[in-house]
Amino acid sequence: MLILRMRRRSGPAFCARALPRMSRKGFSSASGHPGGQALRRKPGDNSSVAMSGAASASSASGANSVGSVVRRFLAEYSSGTPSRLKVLDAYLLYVMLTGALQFGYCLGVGTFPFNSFLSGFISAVGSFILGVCLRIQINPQNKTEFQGISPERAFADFLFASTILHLVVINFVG
Amino acid sequence: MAEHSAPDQKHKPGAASASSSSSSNSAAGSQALVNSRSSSSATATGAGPPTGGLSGGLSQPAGWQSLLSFTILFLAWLAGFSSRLFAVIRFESIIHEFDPWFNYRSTHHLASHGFYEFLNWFDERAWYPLGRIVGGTVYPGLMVTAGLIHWILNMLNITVHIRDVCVFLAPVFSGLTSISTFLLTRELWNQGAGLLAACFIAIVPGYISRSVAGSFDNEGIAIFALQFTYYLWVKSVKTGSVFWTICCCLSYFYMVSAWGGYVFIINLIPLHVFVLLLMQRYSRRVYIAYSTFYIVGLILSMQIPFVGFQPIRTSEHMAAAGVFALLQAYAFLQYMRDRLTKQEFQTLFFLGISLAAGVVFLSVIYLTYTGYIAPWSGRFYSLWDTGYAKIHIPIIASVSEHQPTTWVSFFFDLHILVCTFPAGLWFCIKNINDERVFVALYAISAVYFAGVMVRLMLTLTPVVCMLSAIAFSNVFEHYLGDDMKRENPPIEDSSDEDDKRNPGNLYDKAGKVRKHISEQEKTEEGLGPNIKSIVTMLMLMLLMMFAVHCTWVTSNAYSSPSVVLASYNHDGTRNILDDFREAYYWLRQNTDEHARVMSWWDYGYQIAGMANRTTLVDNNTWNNSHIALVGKAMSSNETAAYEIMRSLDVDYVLIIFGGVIGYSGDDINKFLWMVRIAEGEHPKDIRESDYFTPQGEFRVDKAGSPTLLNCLMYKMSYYRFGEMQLDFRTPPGFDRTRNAEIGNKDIKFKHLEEAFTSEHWLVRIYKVKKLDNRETLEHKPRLTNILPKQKYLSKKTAKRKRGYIKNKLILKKGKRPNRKTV
Repeated sequence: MLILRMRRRSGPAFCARALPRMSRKGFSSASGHPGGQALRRKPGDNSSVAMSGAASASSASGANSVGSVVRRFLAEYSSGTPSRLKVLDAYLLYVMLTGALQFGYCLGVGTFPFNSFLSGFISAVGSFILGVCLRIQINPQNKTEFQGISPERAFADFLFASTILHLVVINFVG
Repeated sequence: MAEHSAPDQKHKPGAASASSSSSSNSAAGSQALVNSRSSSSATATGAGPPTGGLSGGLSQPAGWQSLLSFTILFLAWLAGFSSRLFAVIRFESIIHEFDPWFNYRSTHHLASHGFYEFLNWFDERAWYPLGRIVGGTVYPGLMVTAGLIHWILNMLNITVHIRDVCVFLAPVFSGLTSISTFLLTRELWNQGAGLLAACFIAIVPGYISRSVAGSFDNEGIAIFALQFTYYLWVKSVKTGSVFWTICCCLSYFYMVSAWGGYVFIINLIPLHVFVLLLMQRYSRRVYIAYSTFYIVGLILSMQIPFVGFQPIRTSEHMAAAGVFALLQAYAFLQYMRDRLTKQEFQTLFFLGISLAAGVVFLSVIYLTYTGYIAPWSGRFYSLWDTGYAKIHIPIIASVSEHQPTTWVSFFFDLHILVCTFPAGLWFCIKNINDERVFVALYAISAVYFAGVMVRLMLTLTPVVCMLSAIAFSNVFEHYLGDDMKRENPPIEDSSDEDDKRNPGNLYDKAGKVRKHISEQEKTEEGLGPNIKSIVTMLMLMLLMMFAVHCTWVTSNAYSSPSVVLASYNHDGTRNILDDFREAYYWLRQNTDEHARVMSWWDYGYQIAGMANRTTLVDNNTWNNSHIALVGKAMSSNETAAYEIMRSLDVDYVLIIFGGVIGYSGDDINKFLWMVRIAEGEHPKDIRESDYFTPQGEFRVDKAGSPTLLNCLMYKMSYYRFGEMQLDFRTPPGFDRTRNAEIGNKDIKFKHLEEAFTSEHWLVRIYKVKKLDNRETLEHKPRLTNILPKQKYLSKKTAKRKRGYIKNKLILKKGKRPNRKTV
């Protein structure tokens, strides 16, 4: 926290100068990626320029704060993510909330049937992890890293893994 | 590297057929088989170049290569299987040693009562009067495997006794181990090295020591599970496929069900991931592999009743959880960094890192403090601090296989491999990539653990085999296969089947190939054919000596059942000493079915397995105080011991005495551990120093301490031994094991009586007498000067009265007392 505050205090002068250059640099390096990435980045470019403009505008009153970064991130996310991945992200969010709910319930009420709590919670975490894995594998950005794995194969793996996971979970719920 | 050996592999058929023919006619001599095996695989690599160059090899059908690999693996399996049969051939098909007897007994229970009955089995015949919940305190993998094989064979109408399945399980699994070692080494290096590694692990004594026929123990199948899990892990890191990771989890589950050593896996894999993170080698494949492995492996491992909630409760598993959390945070930050500019990222980064670190740290402290996470258990402490067990837990230190390893045993168990494996490690580190980081960590940690405990030599053996195989195959590549000039790398690349399968590490391979070729061209210029052939001969000599050594060690050191002993006469004929089974059979036939037998814990499983009688303590040393009570009974004098034995309902006491035949593993030699363990629990009654002479020696002769000469164990061991003269050169009562004439030859028992002594006095059984009906007085009847004045008068006399008064004054009338006489 202390570091953050210091940074914020010393931030404005530095950031106001640095931000446009930095962001441009970032985009040029991003567009260096092969394939559909440059294509996908196109619409994002506009918004982020607008965002960086907004950021530089607000920089007078303590710019580059966490809020603005998050806002810019959200804007870029909504524009720069394929809709397939967005559906997956919604699923991930749902699973995560389920897990958080279970954890909150356990904190509030207690962990009495401990194996039931564990299996429910691990089921949530496991589904989340498997969803993230699926998301990584079908993301066109990561195509170079997973050449042997087509999206169909990734989805089949996901189903297989979920089946195993939930068979075990059902066994463990008791 | 893979592409260099690929053409070599294709030229092996001649050598392989030679070796297979030699194996077919040498059925008896597995040594010859082993010899031909390892030398053929070595010469096979050499047979390549003369028959044709690279182009010739490529024109041959690719089927040759796989045929050859199959043949070599099959022969390795056969060699490994047959070299483990010494014990069966020399003795009989019998279960060895101590722990296997329990495994056999529970497998028998599983086979005869079914799986669910086995899981719910409460064994009232062990740990009397406590009993033992077997289903919940055992790693069931071994029993289930053997039971399953038995069931399948019986389904196919092959009627095999469950004992034979148990005896031959470990040798069969050694073949599977060599196959999984082959797969793992192929992933790490190339196929040639994989084949060498498979041959090494098939015959290396360090692994044979735990997997001879009849040694029906967890380790026999666990090493297979270990290697296979590592293979699948490396595979999933390479491909980043969820499918392989799930397979890895299932294999890990099998490992958890089989052996407590699964903790090694669950710490080594996170360590690998952590080191990859530190080396900036993070990739999304690592993320997928580890996250999936951790979460699915976690819930799978909790399915084993014995493991239970340990994976989230004990400190041994916390490293894995920590790395999991770290990896999640790292992956999230990586994702953000791809999205954000550097400046923005830094803002978030510090916030995120400081928050995450704080939360994790505080929660771990909180959980440990409130007792949710158990601290490290004693066995693990003793891994870090080698002196720990000796001070705090004598029962762990008393087991011989928990002692630190000597240098000799490294050479004894691994022979030449222990010298060559650092070379393999160096090759791996020199051409590093993700999976070689793994094998390097594996090697380093296994070397450490093997140095701490003899028994963990077992985890070192596979990695030593793999790395030595890499070293040997590298040397052979240099010195055998380079008579022809290597041409056009593109062809080599296309011939590499590994690359086709795993495109993920194209970059690493390419870099490695370039470096290797240039280096080879450099070395090639200085080497004439003479040097090459000399080096090759030397290497072949080493391999042959290795094979000879392995066979010798296997036949001499690791193939004795220790239930049946053998001694050799001067003319080489063999005597079988079958005292153990004789005594156990006596117990089985001549005692009450529910008789309780007290013995030191080493023999608990054997008594339960062979004699089928209730025991007080056994090799599952879960209750230290109970063992200490037995130790106290053994080491106190007869009266005190009798009280303890009465309170424990002991009917028989069984001891092992080797003084007649000079058997060194008997109870008198173990006696100091009994004293120490008893002292740990009852420091007021038992003191170790009482059992030593004033000079601090442990002696059984006349100079020995009186406490020792009168304790129960001494008396039971040497009862009537003083009357026995073994030899004309020695006095009566001469103990051959300790080379001393015993100090107390006049031993009398009050509460015990000798029930049985086996032929060579190896096993002696005493019966504990019941309490006397009437306690005998310890003093003489009290003497008084009041003499009975009147004789007893029977009431059945003729003059029957209605009652009479004893000593009634009788007046005699008409008679005056005569004064004169007074």
